[in-house]
Amino acid sequence: MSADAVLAEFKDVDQGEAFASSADACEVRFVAGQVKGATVRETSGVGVRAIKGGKLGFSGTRDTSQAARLQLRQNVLDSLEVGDPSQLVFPPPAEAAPVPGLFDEATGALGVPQLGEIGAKVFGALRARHPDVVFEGKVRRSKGQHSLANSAGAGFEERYTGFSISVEANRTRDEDVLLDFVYAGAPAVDGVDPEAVVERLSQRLRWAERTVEFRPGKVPVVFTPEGSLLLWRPLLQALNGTTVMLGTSPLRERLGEQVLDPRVSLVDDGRLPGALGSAAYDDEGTPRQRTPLIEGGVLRGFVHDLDTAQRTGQQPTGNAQRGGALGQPSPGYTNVLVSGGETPQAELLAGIDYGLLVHSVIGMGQGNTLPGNFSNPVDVAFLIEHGQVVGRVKDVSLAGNVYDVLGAKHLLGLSKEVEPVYGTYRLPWVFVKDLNVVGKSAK
Amino acid sequence: MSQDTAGNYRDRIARALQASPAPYTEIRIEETSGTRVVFRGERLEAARAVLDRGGFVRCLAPGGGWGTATFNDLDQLERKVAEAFACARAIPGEAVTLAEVAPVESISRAQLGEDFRQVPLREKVDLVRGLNAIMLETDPSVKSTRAIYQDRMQTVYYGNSQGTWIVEERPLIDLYAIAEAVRGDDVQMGSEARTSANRGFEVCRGQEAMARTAAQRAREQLDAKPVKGGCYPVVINPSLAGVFVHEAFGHLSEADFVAENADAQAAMRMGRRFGRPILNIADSGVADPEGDLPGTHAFDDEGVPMKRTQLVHDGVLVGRLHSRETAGRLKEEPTGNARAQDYNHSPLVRMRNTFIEAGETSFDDMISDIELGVYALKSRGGQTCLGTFSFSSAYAYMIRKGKIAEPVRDVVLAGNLFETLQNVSAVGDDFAWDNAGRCGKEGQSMPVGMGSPHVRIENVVIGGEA
Repeated sequence: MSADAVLAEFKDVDQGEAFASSADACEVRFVAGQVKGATVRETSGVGVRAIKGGKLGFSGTRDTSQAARLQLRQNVLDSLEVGDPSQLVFPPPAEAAPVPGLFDEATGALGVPQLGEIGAKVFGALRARHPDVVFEGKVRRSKGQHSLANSAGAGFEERYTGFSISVEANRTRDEDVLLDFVYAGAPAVDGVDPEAVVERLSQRLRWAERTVEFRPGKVPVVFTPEGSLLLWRPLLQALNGTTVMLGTSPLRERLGEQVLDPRVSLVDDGRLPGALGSAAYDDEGTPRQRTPLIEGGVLRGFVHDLDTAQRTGQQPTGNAQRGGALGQPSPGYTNVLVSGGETPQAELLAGIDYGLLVHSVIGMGQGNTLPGNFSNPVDVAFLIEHGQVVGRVKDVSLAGNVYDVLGAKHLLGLSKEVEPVYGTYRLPWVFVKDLNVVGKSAK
Repeated sequence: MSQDTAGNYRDRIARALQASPAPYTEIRIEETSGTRVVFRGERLEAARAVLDRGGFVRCLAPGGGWGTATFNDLDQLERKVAEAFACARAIPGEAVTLAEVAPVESISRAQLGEDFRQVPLREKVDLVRGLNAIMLETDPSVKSTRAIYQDRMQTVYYGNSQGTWIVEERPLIDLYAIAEAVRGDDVQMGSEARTSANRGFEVCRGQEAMARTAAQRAREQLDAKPVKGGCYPVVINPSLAGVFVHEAFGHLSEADFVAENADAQAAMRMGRRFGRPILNIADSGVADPEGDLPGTHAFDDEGVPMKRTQLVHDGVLVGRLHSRETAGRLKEEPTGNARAQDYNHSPLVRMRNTFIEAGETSFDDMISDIELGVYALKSRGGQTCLGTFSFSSAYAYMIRKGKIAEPVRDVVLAGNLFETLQNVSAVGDDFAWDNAGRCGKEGQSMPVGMGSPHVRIENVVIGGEA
């Protein structure tokens, strides 16, 4: 189904927009280090928005039958009929240069045998190094395209590819269970270094070889780039145009103010070459852009789609995203980049006499995170003694507020190194002082 | 809508199964129609109907693992069987042995009171608008709301090369009322949710109390003080205890965790004591008096009838949850717990409705000797990393000198499963089901139910400012 063809069925509305997506993916799954299965997927779907008499309607379908196409039209009109008034104006054509490095022919052509070979190397290396650990995971490639057409004449068609390796490690010693996870993804197979995947996971497994006691209290805490998402995620919630529009973002009225330590800078970059979150256009046809959100600790902006921009009196930032063809657009992040600091990570670590290194916590995002509060047991975390990682720490919880932790009072520093996390983040290590760590001995 | 009928699908699936060169093949076709209505604040954010249809083919090759193909274009069914077989052959792996189950033929149609497919979208919008208005009117501090209705009718057509043919309609309705109260920079939430399987639109009528409760809870939380972190005796209400047993214990009893991990098998060995003799835990797709719990169906996604599985009896591990593959590997009986979110996914071992059985302690007796403790109610999310778990309570009170005292907030309970179950020191006589909602695992979200009486646990670590 092409977006143009679907849009042509909606000539009798004031404004129309069709979004079509199709993809095929191929993945090989490993369990206990062995190949367990292979899967090929083909998906396609279309979503339509229409405005008539100032009211907006939406429907979508992944049913490819002719009958479903007819029903789609009726569903859009039914939705429009009951819709609330909308000021939305679909945008006219806008030029956007393609972002390099998002489609790789060779990656799109990878089949089950090639993916299996890559996986066999990764899982083979991990098993050889850690015979007491059970590894599970998959190697995956995808290839797809999005297209959009609207009644103002805007439209685009973009192709993309993706490649990823994900591994979960499970080491069970009676009641002592260690679960760790690593993911690396990029638009092209060349963008992922399988040996680095093995090395990153392997280092933590070695660190976790023995479990040590931790003395709770207010201590320095170091977050790995993955672990630092505990701090960045509530902030990203508050920087999203949706919470600004709803009036629940604690940052909604603080544009131009110093909200974090001056060393903190954060941008959303929808045009980063060779990054999984990049594209020339967002899912409403607005050109993607680089949007500074926090600069030197000062609040500079929010991420918006057409609707949240219009309702907050701000400009769209090219951040409209749909959860596939059946979802309506809402603001989401593309690639989130946090600037690194001046000092190398090793040097910062060396300065810690007694502290906690946190790689993951349990229940991230649960509870009331919008005001910035967090309270989570650690999952994969380590004791730092005299600048060295000496063993795994269990059964302690972290608590605090991200606006304090990333504020001048608590922030010790950000590492010079900035690392890719989950394909779409580029994050430094975060060093914090006097964070509250609660354990069983604390009454 | 679609011109296809059950008979038509049966023929197509039978032909494709016959054409499959694989020793074992299964095919699942799903047709889903659903509607969703969302109010945010005073604004109707979404009112839509969507359609979905797709297929899933899975093959076993001789001496190999699973080859799988998923797709939207059903005209490609026979080609997809060939692709799935090619996948299975491309990567020789360790052979999969499926536990034997008797082939079944079954067609089960939903028995709905008021068929939600016949209810006009406008009526659904009006109902949600009403709930939303109640939240906004209940308290002036409520600045932001979400009132959500969604329904779906999923029809599953399942056939395998061992002669099983199943048609099952799986209707599901979700209703959510979420209120956010704002005071300065502080935002607090109250949330009520109800997920009903196998019911019609009638379950959404007369639910005004949900909206009022959500708004009142949000307002009350503004005044609650953050809990002081530490280690407490904790009493959890049936709703939170249901999440506790699901998160802390249920996930470990899913046999895919232990099937290929000898160390995990040793940790989860049958006969191991997990708790005191007062502790009894089960999972069931059938033992549901109303038949509307989210995990209640006739068959799982491998064509195995659902049943009741005792997991812990008098504190001792006696059972676990299986797919045909894990049951085959461990030489145990299949339990009908292989569930897939939709045609895009392979079935995983999943819970259905998981519960702690009623005990004998009254609520008053449970708290009477607690000098300083926490009474935590309702879940606001939970996660388990097997050995360790964490869950948040939606609201809570301190217990002082055996009495419920002031409200506290930000109560996050955490612990080690093995210790915590041993620390369950009282099980209440007041069992209640909770039409809880969804559970996520490996990217698949499944409707699940939970149940429990009040439960008391000693020495629970609660995070927070010390």
